[in-house]
Amino acid sequence: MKAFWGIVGAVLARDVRAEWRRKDIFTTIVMFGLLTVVVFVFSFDPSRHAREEVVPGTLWTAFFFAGILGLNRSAARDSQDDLVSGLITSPADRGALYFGKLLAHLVFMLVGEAVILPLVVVWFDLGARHLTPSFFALLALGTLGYLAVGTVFAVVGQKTRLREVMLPVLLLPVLTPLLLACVEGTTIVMTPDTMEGFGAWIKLLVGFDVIFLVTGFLLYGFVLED
Amino acid sequence: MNTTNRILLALSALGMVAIFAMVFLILPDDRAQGFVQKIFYLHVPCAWVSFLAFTVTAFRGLRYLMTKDLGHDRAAAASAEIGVLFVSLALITGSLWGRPIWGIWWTWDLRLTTTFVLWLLYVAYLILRRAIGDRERRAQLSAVTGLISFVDVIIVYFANRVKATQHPAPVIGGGEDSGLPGLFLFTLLLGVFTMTVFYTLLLRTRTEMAAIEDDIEDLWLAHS
Repeated sequence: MKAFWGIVGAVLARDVRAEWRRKDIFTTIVMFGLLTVVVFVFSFDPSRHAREEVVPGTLWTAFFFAGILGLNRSAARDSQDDLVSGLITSPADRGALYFGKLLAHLVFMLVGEAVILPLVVVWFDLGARHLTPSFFALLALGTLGYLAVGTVFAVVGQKTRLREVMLPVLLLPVLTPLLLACVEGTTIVMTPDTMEGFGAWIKLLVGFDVIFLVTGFLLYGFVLED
Repeated sequence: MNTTNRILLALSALGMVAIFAMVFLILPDDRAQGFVQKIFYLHVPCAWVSFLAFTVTAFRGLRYLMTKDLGHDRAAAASAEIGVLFVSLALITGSLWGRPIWGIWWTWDLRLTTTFVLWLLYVAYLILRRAIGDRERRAQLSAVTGLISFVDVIIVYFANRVKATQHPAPVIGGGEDSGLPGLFLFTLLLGVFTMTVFYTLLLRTRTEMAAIEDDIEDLWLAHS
């Protein structure tokens, strides 16, 4: 058990160190996330719509698209570094490699979100009423579930002829229930004076996360070695 | 064509004729919806076969991961192709019904959207297969993708229950008022049975064909 978490920590530390030197995943996520928000602001004039109509879709679309580019960058970098062959020649538990990669992606994504979110708060005039613990629970569960699947498919995509194009094609349909729960949940948070129905979406998110963490844990080894 | 396939072909042909006889000649029109309602006897069996097909894809994928026998991969791929065909048919027959009854071809209702997502999931699976040249690698990555997609299908159907849908409630086992009188139920079950037999025939033929394709490729590679 101690060895397992040792490997998780080693993979995480290695990825964070590599990112600290290059900062390309961070730049990709932040730039693309912000550009998506700007595109949305131009498409749906926020001054003419209620907050709960624009913010949930804008926020989650920005995170989803930025995440795809971040995951692709991470997988492409691993492929350039020939990291995958290094990982599969090691006797390390495949599940530990999965959690290590997942945690690294989680760090990159959360740092990116921490930069994008304050700007969204300013641009859409969100207050303490919106940024509740429920909102952050959605953010955490949504990001975790997103990466639970994304970490597996990033490697799959990189091993095909289509490379970067394959990831969104595989990932987005699988994420539909997650996107639905995140957007519907955020809409409830943004709507004044009601939290009705919020619990059902959180339950769905928790279910999604647990199921895909287990699935990813079991299948990641098959994706690395082929 | 071998004996089993001949029997399957005969059964599906007879079944289809019987369904059309029931729909056009024997069953009375629905009181509220009229003749249009009868598309139900094709729509439900098509949707059923697509679920069956994707379950087979996931199961044969899992068997591949356990045994590394490429026969399982060929069957998984064949089943996914047929599943996409039948989910397309379910979407089209549903749309044909929706136009006269709802007044629209399509609505972004959750049940309809998730069926479309099902279509996307397995079209993505087929795109993935075409994007990988190496046979073992294709089998391995497709098996993983097939399993993830299948798990997702289950979650999607739970999500369906969280939000209200415009789609009619399940006719059988859908609550207290559900259930069909004798002849109607018989026709529905006949439809499900016939489509399942037809699916089995398609699956067998397509899997055999895939094996032949692989053999041809091997021969071609050996001679060049």
